[in-house]
Formats: sequence, structure tokens, C-alpha cells
Amino acid sequence: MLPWLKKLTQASMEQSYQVFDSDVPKDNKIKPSLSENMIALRSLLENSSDLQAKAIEGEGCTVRLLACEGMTSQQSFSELLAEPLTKAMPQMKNPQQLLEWVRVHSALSMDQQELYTYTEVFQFLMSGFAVLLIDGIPLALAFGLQGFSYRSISEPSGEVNVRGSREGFVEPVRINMTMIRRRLKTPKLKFELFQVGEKSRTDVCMVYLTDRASESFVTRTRRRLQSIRMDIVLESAYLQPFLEKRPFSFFSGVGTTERPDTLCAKIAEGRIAVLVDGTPFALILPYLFNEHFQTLDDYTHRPYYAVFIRVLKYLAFYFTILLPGLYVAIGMFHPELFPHALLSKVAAAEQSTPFPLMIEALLIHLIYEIMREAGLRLPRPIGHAIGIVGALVIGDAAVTAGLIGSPMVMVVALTAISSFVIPSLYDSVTVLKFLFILAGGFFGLFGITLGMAMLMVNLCAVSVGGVPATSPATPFSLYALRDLYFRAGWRSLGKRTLKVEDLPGSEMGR
Amino acid sequence: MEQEGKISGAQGAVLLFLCRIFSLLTLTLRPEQQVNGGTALFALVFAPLSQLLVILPGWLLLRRFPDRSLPEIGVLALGKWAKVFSFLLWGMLVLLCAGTVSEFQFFLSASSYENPPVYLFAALLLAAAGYGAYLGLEAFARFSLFVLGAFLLSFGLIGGSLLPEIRLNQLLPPLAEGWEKVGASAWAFVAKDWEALLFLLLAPRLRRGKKSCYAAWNLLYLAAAAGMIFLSSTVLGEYGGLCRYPFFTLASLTEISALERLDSLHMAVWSFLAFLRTTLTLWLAKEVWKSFAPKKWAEQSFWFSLGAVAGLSFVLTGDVTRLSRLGQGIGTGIPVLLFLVALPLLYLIAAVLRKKGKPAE
Repeated sequence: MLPWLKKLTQASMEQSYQVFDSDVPKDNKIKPSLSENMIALRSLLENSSDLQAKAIEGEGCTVRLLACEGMTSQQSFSELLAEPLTKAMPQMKNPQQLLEWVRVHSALSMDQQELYTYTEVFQFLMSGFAVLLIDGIPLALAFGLQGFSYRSISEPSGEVNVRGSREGFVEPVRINMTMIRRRLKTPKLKFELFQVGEKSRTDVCMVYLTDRASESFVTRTRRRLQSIRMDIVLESAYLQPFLEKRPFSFFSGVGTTERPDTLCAKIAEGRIAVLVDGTPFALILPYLFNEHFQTLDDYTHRPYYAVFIRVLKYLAFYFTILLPGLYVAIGMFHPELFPHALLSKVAAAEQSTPFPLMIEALLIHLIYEIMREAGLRLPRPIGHAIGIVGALVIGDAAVTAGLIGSPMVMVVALTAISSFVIPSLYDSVTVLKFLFILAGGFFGLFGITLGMAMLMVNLCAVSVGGVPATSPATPFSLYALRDLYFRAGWRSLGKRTLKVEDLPGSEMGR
Repeated sequence: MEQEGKISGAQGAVLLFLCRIFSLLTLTLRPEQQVNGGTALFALVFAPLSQLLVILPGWLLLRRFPDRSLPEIGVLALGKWAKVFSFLLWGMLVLLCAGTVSEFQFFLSASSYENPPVYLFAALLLAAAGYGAYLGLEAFARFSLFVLGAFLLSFGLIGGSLLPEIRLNQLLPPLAEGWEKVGASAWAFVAKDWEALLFLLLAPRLRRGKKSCYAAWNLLYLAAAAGMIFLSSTVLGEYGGLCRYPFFTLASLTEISALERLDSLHMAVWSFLAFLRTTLTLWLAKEVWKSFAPKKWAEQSFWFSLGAVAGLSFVLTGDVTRLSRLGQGIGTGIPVLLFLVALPLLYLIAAVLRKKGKPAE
């Protein structure tokens, strides 16, 4: 890139991600005085009405139990904390004795954290913990009594499988962590929690197997995640660009999954997963291009069927991006390439339409995308109606009115169906489809092949953590090919787990 | 966004093989070599030996300086005077790159498009190749494996479907035109083998396996060349030695079930090959530019090289005579001898002399 352009873009990037740590009070440490602490907390929270504080007073000491409204389980709060504490208070002679009792003897001694700053108090309160402040003690204790309502565990809508687990990730990160732990009972499984987002303070959890993941890659990923400067992080996609490397590509080296079983299989191969609180979509890195074509079902079906399905998916992918463009290119520039029988049919259909093939293709695909988008955002019953209108408008009326040729309807229908075969690539293939229509319409087959070459080189340039996204197809590995276009049987696959670090062309360990 | 790093020997072999195939697809035996198919096939046995002799000085230089590029070795051996040779080398690479672009435009206008906007097409190819070169060697070397797959598929399909059309009696005996013609044909293969120069420039960027890269690339090329010459001679007969794009003609004759002809497949593969060759030569030109240009200009090596290639290819694209003159000039073998024999030999002698304590000026 030209140096001045580089400087300009870098400067604007730095400017847009510069945030200020305005939420952290200057005097952040918890004081021994309870009233002082309460005044500080209330003023820092701007007297927000969701902060609940229950005072319990004994002979020798006074305490405050704090919680955020709706975030803690009321039953657990009263049974495990408020009630035992109220009973124990009269026997406590001084604050130190009470602190010892809570630390060692209370029912909640397992799940408690000691906090020393107001920032920590806020963090735990807002994550659903109950916080205990004792007068005369310059620390707070947080208890894991989360009881906020969340969506129950259900089958992920975007990754439905015929066989295998029906569990999908949910929004709270800690529940997702337990789903992973239940599947990988090894001590080598490590969760690293930290917060990202200046305002949202979102919990982000890095998950990996210490004996499989490359140490240097773990360090680099941790550093990247910790250096993210954003105000709010509401979804894992917010973090994705920070984990990817340049150049710009239609394909990402970071993947997502909603399934704990898929995620476990990935981290068993030495990958790193990133869970983000508030979203069921976990990030996986590095994510190879061929993984878009793999599902858990591939490993539960018999190998011959899995191979058939994979080949079908690759075909569908190329169909989606190339079919409309090729149809336009051949129709406009190289009609001699159509077989004779087909050529006469295409010519007859296109003779009655007012638009050139390229405009026709662009128009009809655009209408289809508008209807898809409308159907997606509307309530389901209305969405169905949109589908019916679409089928009537495009499939019948437009052809009858002579606006489009019937072969084009076939092309759109085939492209649309093929595009849903690999949902994770939907956004890429949709844009690519339009680009290839333009390339084919303006430059014919030459435009298509040149566009394809550029697309493939771009894909080949993508790598995350030093692993090329196109590996093991190129750089080529015969051994790794057993689970690429083909899927070997479990007797062969189970012999040795292939780590991403060992893939050809990988520079992960460097 | 240049990616650092090197490529494997296998990737290098595939890349060079595909670049070489680009020229092979335009091979017309009669006008270029004045030989028949049988003689050309026989000459292929001797071509690698001649090439080995030609590349020997370069090979010795690589053994002496395994991790240095040719321009770097030049600086070590000749000091600042090497910059003149590096400039000439850059010029040659620009010429090769522009020649590839123009040759491909000529093919498009001759075969698939009626009155195509050739300048626009040349600009498009250059833009695409520029993007490939910008992404770096690793990216387009990885892509080359996909192109190899596409080439083998198309070659297999076309060759397989033409099997019933093969007439062995159309293949004349290898020595029907005498040993002289065999020698001339073998030399003609070497004289157009610019990939040997690309190999010398690429060698420092190979992780390991330089020898196997060289061997694999040449073996692959021999097999493909033998296959193509055999098919064009036995299917097209004497016409195969005369027509400008024999393999394209073969593809047009092919019929596989509902796919009545395969020339579109051939055109797609050839577009990929043109893209790869243009990208590789442009990338190498960019690298060579860095070795002699002043520091301020060296940073802009990509733009200077791209600009030069664009200018030259527009000149060549506009006039077929110029293009064929360029082809004839290159085909004499003198440029190959200059850049593959004389230049490495000069560097080698200078390096030896410098080591003996007689540094060159």
C-alpha cells in the first residue's frame, strides 16, 4: 500500500478505537467504613434503582448485602446467605470473627471471591453475584448466587444435526463453560476469563487444551483479546476482526459454532475457542476453509455417505457463486458453448424478454434477496406469506408477463437452494454471486475465470495463527486429506489426532 | 500486504511447471522449430540435458550462496556495478510479464471474442495479477495447486475423449528429418525456457528441496509436453504443427456427452495459467527492483514494476507484429544464454576472484 494511504488508514483506525477509562474512580479501594463504602458505591452507580442493599445488624458488627435486582436467585439468597447470616450475627463479637465465619463455616464458603476494589464489586454485582460488605473490614465478599432468567438449553437452530447431542450453547458464559467441561473431563482443559469492553465489561472466556494448543498461539491470542479497546461487546462477532489477520477477505480464518460438541472436537485438535457472555456463538480459531463443509453428522454417518454429502456441499458452493455468472457469460458472449438442444430453448426464452441477460440476472437475484430479507425479519406467519408472494411474483407472474425468461427462474431457484447448503458461508456467497454476474456480464468467461483466480488467491492468503486457511488442500498433505474431501472411517481417524499445528504450511509454533 | 516466508520445493515445482505450460499451449512445431511431431517427441529426451548444461553456472552459484538471491549475489561479487545487471534482469522480467499479458490477449481475440476490448482485457489481467503479487508469493503458490488440479482435469478430459481419434500413422519416425533437426528442436525447447531463470530467482525463497523442485518441474513438463505433442500430432496430423493453438483446437474437437465441446474449460485453465505467470514474473520483477533502486524508490517497487509492465504490454497488445517479433527475439536463445549462462558465470568468477583477495571494483 502507498505509505501515505497506510498512515492515513492507521491514524483513523487508532482514532476510532481510542476509549477512555472514565468509569474507574480515582480512589478505587474499598474502605473499612461501611457507610463510606455505601456512599461511594451509590454515588458511583448514580443512585441506580436496580441496586438492592439489605442491612443486617448485630451486636458487634453491621453488614450490608448487595445485589442487582433480578440478577440473583431470591431463594438461594435468603436460604444460603441472608438467613444463616441473620442467625449467626448475634454470636459474632467483632467484624473479624464474622469474616472468618463467612469465609470458613458458611454454606457458601466454596463459591466466594474476595474483592478489594469498587471496580471488582461492580463487576461481580453485575454478573449476578451477591456482595457482602462488613463494617470495619476493607474488603468485600462475592457469592455466586446467580439467578437471572435466561433461555434454556435447546437445539441450536443454525446447526441442526440428525444424530448427536441436542444441546446448544446459551447466553450465559458460565453455563457454556460447564457444557464444555462435562464433555472434556481432562485436567488439561483450561478456561481463561477476562473482561472486554470499557462500558459493557463483557466476560470473555478463552478455552483450550494446554497439551494440544500451541503455547505461542495461546499467548498471541490472549494478548490480542486483552488489547481490544471497545466500549461495548454484545456479540462474539465484535471480537472477530481483532483476531483475524489482513488482508481483507470474503472468508474468515475465525469460525463460529453454537454446539458444545463441535467446539470440543475443535479444541481437541489444538484450536482455541472464545466464549463471550451474552451470545451462544463461540469463536474458533484457526478455522480452515474446508471446515465450513464439515458437520458433526459427517462423523456419525457411514464414511461413504459422509463423502457423498461433502462432495455435494462443495458442488453447492461453486454452484451458488458461479452458476448465475456463468449463465450470463455464456449467454451473452459465448452462446456456442451451450449444447445445441439447450441453446434453442434459452434463445427462445430470452427472445421475449426486454432486458439483457445480465440486468435480468441482477434484477431477479436482487428481488430474491429483498424477499428473503423481508421474510427473515418479519414474524413467522407474515414471513410465510412473503414466500408465497415471492413464488407467485417471480415464478409465475414475471415469466408470464415476459419480464424474465424461464431458464433464469431455474437458475435463481438452483442458486438460492444451493446457497442454504452451507449457512456459515451465506453472506460471502451472496455478495460473490452478484460480483460474478457483473464479471460474466461485462467480460464473459474471461471475467469469470479472472474473478475466480483473484478470489482463490485471496482465500489462499488468509491465515490465522500462522495456519493457512486452505490447508491441507494447499499446502498439500496426503495424510490430512483423510478428512477433507473424503472422510476416512473412525478406525483410521481415531489412530492419531491431527493437531492444527502439524498441518502443512503451519507456522503456529513460531 | 506482502506475506513473509518461503514456499516449499513442491509448490515451487508446481508454480514453474504451470508457468511453462502457458508457453507450451502456444507451441507450433512447424513455424517455430521446423520439425514434425515425431522428431519433437524424440528431441524432448535431449532437451533436459541441454537445459542442465545451460543452468549449470546458475546452479553452482546457488550452491555457493544458498540463501542469496541473484541480485544480492551480484552485489557481493561485483559491488555497485551489479546494479546495472540487476536493472537488465528487471527489464527482462518486465518484458516476460508484458509478453505473457499480450500473448493471452492475442489468444482471446483470436479464439473466443469478436473484437474484444484488448486494452481493457490486458488492464484487467494486470490488475488481477497485481493483486496476486501484492498478496505475496505464498498466496499465489498455494493457488497454483488448485490450478494444477484444473489443468490435469482438463488435460485428462480432453486427452481421454480424443483417444479414439488418435492415428498413429500420422506420427513420422523420429529421425525422418535427421539428427540435425533433433538437435535444433531440443535447443528450441531450452531457448524458450524462461522458467529456468525464474527458478534461479525463486530458489532462495524455497524452504528446502531445490534439487527435487528442479527435477519435479522438469519431469512434469516433459510428461505434459510429450502428451500434448503426441495428441496434436496424432489427432490433428500435419495441421497440428501449423495451427497457432493446437491444444485449443483439440479442445474444440472434444465431445463428452452433453458437453459438446471443451474449449471453454481450456480457456478457463489457460486464463489461470496466464494469471499465474503474470503474477510470478511481476512479483519477481518487484523483488529485483528493490535490489538496484534507490531506497526511496525501492519502497514503491510494486508500482514501478506494475507501471512498466502495463506500459509495455499496452504497446505489445496493440500490434501483433511487435508481439511476434518479441517472440522471435526471445526464441533465438541469445537472451537465455545471456541471463542464464553469462550472468551467473560472471558473478561466479567475480565471487571467486573476490575471495582470493582481488575484489572487483
